[in-house]
Amino acid sequence: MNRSRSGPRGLMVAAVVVAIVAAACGSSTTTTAPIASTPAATTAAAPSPSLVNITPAPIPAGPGPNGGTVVRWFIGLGAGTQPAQIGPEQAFATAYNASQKDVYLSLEIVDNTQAANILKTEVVAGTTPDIIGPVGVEGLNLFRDQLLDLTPIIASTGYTFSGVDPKLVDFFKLGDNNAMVGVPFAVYPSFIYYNKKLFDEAKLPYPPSKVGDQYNGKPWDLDALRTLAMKLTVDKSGNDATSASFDPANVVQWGFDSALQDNSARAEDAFFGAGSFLAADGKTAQIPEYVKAGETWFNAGVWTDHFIPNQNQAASALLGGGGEFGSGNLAMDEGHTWFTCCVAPPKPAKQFDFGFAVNPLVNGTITSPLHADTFSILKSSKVQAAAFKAVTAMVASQALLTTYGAMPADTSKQDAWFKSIDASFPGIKLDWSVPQAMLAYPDVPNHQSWLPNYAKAKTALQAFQNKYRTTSGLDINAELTKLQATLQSIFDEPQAP
Amino acid sequence: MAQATELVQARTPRFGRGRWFGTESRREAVWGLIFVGPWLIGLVLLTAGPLIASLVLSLTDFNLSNPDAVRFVGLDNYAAMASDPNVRQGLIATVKFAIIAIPLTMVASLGVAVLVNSPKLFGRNVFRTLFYMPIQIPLVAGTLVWIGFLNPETGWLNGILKLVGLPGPDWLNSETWIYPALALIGLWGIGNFMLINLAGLQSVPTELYEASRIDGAGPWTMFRRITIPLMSPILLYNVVICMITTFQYFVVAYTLTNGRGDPNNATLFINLDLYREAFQYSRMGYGAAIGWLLFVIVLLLTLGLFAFARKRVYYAGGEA
Amino acid sequence: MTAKADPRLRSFGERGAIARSYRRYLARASLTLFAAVLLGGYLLPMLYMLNTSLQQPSQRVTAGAPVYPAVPATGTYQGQTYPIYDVPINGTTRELMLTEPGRESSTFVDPADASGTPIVWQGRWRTLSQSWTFAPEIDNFTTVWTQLNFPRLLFNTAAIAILSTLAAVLSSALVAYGFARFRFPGKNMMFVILLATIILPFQVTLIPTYIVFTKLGWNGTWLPLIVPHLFANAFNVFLLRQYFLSIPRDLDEAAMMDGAGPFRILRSIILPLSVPAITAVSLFHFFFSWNDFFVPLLYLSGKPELQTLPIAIQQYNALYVSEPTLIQAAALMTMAVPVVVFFLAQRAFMRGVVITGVEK
Repeated sequence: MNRSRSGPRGLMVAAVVVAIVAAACGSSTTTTAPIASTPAATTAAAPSPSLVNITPAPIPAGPGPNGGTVVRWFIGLGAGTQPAQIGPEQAFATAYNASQKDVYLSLEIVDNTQAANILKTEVVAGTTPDIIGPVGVEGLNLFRDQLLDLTPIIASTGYTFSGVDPKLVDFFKLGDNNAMVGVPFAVYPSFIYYNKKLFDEAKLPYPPSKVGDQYNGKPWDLDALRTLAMKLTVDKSGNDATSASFDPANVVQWGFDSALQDNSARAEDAFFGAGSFLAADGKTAQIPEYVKAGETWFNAGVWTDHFIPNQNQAASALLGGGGEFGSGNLAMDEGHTWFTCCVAPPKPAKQFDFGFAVNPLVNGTITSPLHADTFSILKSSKVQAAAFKAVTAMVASQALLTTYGAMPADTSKQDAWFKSIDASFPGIKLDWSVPQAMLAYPDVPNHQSWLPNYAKAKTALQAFQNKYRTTSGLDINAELTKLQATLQSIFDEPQAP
Repeated sequence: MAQATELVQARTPRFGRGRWFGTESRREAVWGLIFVGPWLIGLVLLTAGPLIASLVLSLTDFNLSNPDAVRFVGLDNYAAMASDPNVRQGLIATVKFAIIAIPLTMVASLGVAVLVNSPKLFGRNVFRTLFYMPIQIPLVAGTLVWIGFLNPETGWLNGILKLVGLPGPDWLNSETWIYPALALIGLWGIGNFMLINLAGLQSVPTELYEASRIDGAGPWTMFRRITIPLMSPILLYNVVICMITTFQYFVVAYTLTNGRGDPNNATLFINLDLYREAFQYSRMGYGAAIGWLLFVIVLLLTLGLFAFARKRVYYAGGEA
Repeated sequence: MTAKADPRLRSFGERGAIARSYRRYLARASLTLFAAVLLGGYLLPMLYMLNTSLQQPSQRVTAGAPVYPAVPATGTYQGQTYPIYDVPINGTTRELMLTEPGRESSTFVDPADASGTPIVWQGRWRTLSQSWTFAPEIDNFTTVWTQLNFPRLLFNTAAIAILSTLAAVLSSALVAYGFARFRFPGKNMMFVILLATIILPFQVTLIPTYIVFTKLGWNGTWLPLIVPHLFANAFNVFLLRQYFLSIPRDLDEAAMMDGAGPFRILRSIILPLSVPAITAVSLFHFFFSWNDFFVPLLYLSGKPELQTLPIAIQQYNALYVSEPTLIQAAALMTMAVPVVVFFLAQRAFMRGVVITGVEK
């Protein structure tokens, strides 16, 4: 064995390790590479194998490649993260950046499940994006304290909400003290989607598409909906839920649900009326009447009449693992306008014919729960004027409306949008008068409106929904009393400073 | 042979009385610090700051939605935990799960490692690869597999149970069945522990087995008398790591149960409570306090394990 | 398979030897059978996964469809495709297209009938059986490949995993050696601190860490995913320390007698004897990095061209729209490299290392 020289050599190796470490830390603080020199859309095509991408790129500060102010647009709190949406979003940014030289729009697309966490982390670190959206009321509630009141900037720029119903403009005054925290972009009234194929199979007439029309010679109300839904609920032997030999353990087709509604009681019940869990004093928890009536009806629909799927049925492969209406095995679904995103049946089945019907009367009145999407600017943005300029372009984009399936708040854009949705369903005649009519029956106060300690209150509401959908024979009134107590303790907790 | 037996029975005298170690203990210390250096540098530059920052945060009312208005609140957060039902539920759920999951993981991973290490097994490289595979599934896909597999309506498990005439439980929605379900899913995560055990098994000198076989020992005796003692450092590692990760467990359960701790808070593990407070409810100061409570508990358990292991773990190279 | 155990190589005339080798073979076969049964149960959910990835989405929502990937028999009538059912009519079973389903009576058409005469059948079509043909859907995989820019993602994921694994294993081996073989003041305390860094849940240090990396200007780069591993981590150091400690010191001592220094001992004695542990650490660090989701998402959310596979898979699980067949196909494609790497690397665990025999 040779005499070892490893002592000194060892020291050298160690020195090198230390040097690498020091270099890795040191260089990064001094390098000031320009921002994302490669817009996403172009680099995606060419996989450059070099590792140059590892060089540090600090948070954009200077001008973007087109010479404009860099504005960061954060996508993920709502729609916008599907592969089919990312392309058009990037295309919009590329086109916008080419069309003018004042603003450079830079995209940040974050998986929906983590988007809120990542945005919060960025807020604390001071690396906040400028624009968030598309985002609904739920998402805005989570970031209520951080949203910029747009009123001054709207006044100073002279921006007008052309074509938007003034009532709808008011709807976006969702911040503290009615601050206007979003530019109206999309509105989503809700109504009933029904699968015509399943109605034809049962030889049943379609539900009414005009307010005031009757169904089968009777008023189109909750009872009519229940009876109809039960006839459309079928077990594997072909018995419907009104038949004595119906087997609830082997259901293959369900009559009704209020799917993709945020898994929350206050959302799925919202066509029963409007109300708030927060009393007028702003402190006391209450159970609104519409929720009491709605949950009793839903609970019976799931466990007694079996026309609404329970949790396990909704999650089963038969109902598309949660994409219930699109599976083709749900006859009617109370859904919003954005829901045209999700009516396509699993491939390669051909699109089934479907239609829109008005919401049923509940105690003599119709309620159409309203959703809305907007783009908001964060208070912390240092480039608010540039961000507002970009937002006005975004809300005016027909391409983005189509991509998100977003019904324009601007009535002058609605016809073009209806046509763009029709184009994705060739051969199907959708009755757009239904959503237009339903816009006249919004739920006020809105079912998504803010509550104290919002995220925690929402968790409690969702846990309640989950419990009744997984537990047979629940005493709904007792559970609602418990929910009220839980909400009260959540409302009573100290708020954010 | 004799030499090998000696290896097990007699402790090697403490090394370090050698030529340059013993004569200059300072030099040994310098070498030690050089080798530990990369970690120390990282600790100072990257890790220690955030660690201390989180401790400081736990003494404040730091809220993610209003980071500028942070106030020092002393030990208020720690006092609030005492009466927080979610913290209590979190600790109970975590301990319940740990009692099932840790022994199960340890036994199963050792058993599988011994099995796939056996030279008698045909195609053991294939077996190893396949037993390891589930841990390589990306989380989102794995979660959906289990949601589908355990679904009482269209899932396979209850389908199989039905075929053999057993009633299928509502795995994910029952407060009783959720723990066995999570333990079952946890079994799918034994890959890394199996791999470490497999590495540990290689450190057992084969001639020890031969010697003991000549002495007439059966496989079980050999396993108990040779394999276990010689692998004890590795087993200690596995137990410590398994405990640390189990006390931080929540992501799988969280994604399986609607992201909330359903059913009825049965999966509200302490780390989920931390995550909810810190991120979903934005109360990072309080979340940090829960994190440090969890830290103290697990650190004490870890130190306890080391103390327990002191006399029982055999280091062929002597204690460092 | 060793030559001894192979019954074909038995020497004729030695009956005892034949019986012995036969018995040994039987023992091996039954052990293998036992392992296979165990594995079968263990991997059943993976079969479910594979099965999902090979199904057409529409099969999953069809009541009465078989479990395996299959397509129903169909026929064409007036330019439209209809499913074919086995319909009992007048004592015989006919294969007919269901053109107009109804609750108590349905209309069928015989696919062989060119005139397309409707046949009205009284009965419930849901009770009829349908014939399905085994047909794995490979398109799920090609869709993922093209839709996600898979080659780019694969390159990013592999580059990050390889670099961070190299960093982690090299640094951890040095640090573990320091803890295992040297005495220095404060060592026990330092080891406790090392463990403490993983005992504290990462959620509480996430934001301070993010701020540090952002201040360094590393946001939007791979650096936060690689550089921290240059400084060793507790999981790896602890394991290697345990392994190094089980290597007898007399080997070091002997080498030292020959004048070897600490680095040489590490290189020529400790590391060669620790190949299984080093391999284990490398593998699980590699796989950890390969599947890491949150940290890459946090630092790379604005840089799709730098992102990794786990982030991309999540796109198929977007709000409101989940595509189980594509998620599972993407997941299997993501796993392909790790599985092959494991298969090749696990040879390190094939032979027991005879510790006492080295350099003595």
